[in-house]
Amino acid sequence: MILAATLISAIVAIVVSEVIGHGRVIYTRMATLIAAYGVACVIADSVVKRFGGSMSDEFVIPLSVVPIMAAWLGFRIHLSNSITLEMVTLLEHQGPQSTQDLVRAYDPQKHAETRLRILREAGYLAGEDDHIAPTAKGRVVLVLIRALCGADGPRAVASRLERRRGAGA
Amino acid sequence: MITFSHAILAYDLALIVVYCLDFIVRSRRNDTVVAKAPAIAMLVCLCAGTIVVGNDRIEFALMGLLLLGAAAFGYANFLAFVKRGVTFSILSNHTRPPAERIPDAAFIAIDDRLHEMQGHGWAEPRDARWSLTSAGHRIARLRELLIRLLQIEAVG
Repeated sequence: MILAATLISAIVAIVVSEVIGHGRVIYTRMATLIAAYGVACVIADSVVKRFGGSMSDEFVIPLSVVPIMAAWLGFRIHLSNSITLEMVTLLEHQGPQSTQDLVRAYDPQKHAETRLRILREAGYLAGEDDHIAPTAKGRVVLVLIRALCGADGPRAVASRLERRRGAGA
Repeated sequence: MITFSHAILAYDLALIVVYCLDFIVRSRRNDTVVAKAPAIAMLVCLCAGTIVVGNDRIEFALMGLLLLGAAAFGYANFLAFVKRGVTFSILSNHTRPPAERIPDAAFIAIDDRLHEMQGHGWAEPRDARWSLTSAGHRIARLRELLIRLLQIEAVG
């Protein structure tokens, strides 16, 4: 019963957050996802309790849904944001391309601007110079970036840029 | 012997602790996105749990495998987002004063993506042009189907 309740809670939370989110990028609507998770777990807990579930069952379901939601979050971000997958789609539509043609077709500048726009709309960036918003959300983002990535930002990206600078010098 | 729900509760907490420790001690400091060590450690815990759980052993094993698979997949995507994510790089870039920032488009490294596609066996260079392999065509069609089905805004 716990396995079924866990799976159903996760599926309900995902479906509800997707319906409410209208397909928007998931990290711009984390509150909806967390709320959907909370509601689905409360409903599952009450059903399990009604059918004789124990106190520990009520902790097990919300805790077990977390890894499933994390997997969905990763999959969903990858599906919408992966540059590699976008380039695969470009090749599917336009047929074989040289590297230069692919760069032209993909247009890195336009894509960087799209990401900036999404970050602005989600309230992560503010002001004329697009700095991290001086709000509670902005402070959380700053702490997260420093704690997860360190001072130089995402590690693999920072080391790639460093290598390129070295090769260019 | 412990009950099923206590065993799952312990397994959930162990998953969280093991993956957090892996991030703090190992994965935060390297460039890899697939962490095998915590998955192996949790597989050993799952085998041990299957022996000590007093009831519903099959459900415990199934649930443990589901949780471990989901955690390993979610963690790999988390590491990719934190270490290679373009959006996180742009955000991180914007924590600096404007004069010290790198142009945002610099974070999109097309060459690396092409080599990644080749590494996955999705595309290959032929006569100085990149072509999709049959696996690449399948991936493209699957992505398009999922995006249409879920009505997702593709940012790519």
